[in-house]
Amino acid sequence: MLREILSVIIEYIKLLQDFVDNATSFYIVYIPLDFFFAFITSYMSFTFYVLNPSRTKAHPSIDDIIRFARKIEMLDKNLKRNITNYRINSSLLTGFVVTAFIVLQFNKLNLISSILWSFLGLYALRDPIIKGIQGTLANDLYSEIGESINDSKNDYKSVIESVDAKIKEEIKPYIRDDFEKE
Amino acid sequence: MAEFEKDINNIIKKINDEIKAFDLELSNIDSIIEQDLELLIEDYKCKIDTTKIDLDSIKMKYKNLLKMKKIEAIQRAKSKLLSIKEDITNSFPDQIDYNFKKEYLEKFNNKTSSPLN
Repeated sequence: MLREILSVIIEYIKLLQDFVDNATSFYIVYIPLDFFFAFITSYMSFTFYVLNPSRTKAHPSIDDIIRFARKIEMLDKNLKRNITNYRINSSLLTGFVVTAFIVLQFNKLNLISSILWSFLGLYALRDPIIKGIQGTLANDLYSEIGESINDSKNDYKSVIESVDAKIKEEIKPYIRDDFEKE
Repeated sequence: MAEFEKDINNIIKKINDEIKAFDLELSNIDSIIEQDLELLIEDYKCKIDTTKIDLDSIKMKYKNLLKMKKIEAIQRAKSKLLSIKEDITNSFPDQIDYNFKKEYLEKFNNKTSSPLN
């Protein structure tokens, strides 16, 4: 993983050299700042565009989580295979482009370097993101199972209560006088 | 990833256990309903004039209704659990334990019932 990250950094520096004729000490401050913005914005856009693609619901449904956990898992496999040569889907592409533009707005660096830093930020964050989603998914599935079982019990309980009320009504006239009729 | 695989397989195991418990309930449904009705009328036994009303006939009257509602509730919960299981099976085929896969494939090939039953 370190080698992959280093290769991206080297590529990034090479690109910077191509685009910037006279690198100054300004860039020593600028590069970490760029990384910081890319890190934050890639996380935000990734969460926004990938976890909630319809962008109409406040929270993704369980189907969304399953679908996107699967998508992220595929992305993770692809990233592991080759960081510089992977296929990205439209949601991710949108996320990356938005990220790149936001970063560009903030620090006026070129688009390519912004995209590269976005990839790097995403790559660095992929494990906690995947683990977080998987944990949420597992908890949601457990809750869903619990709810299904409770619904079944509650349905039957309400039927029992209604039958109890009917029986009570039916036998009311036959309650012996020595017992108080409710 | 190992933790997630463990979670997924535990969830499938839990679903299978719950479905088995529901099936057991269905196979003993008559005695369960009988017990429930007995509990319902128990309180009234000493309070009513049994020469004027037959509690057994009341029990019989509601037995079928309760049985039908209980079966419906169980079937609903079972189909919900099966749909969750199907979602998991389709979404995470690589994470599912070999035994569950084998069970799935055997039932699917036999075509005796729904592949996930």
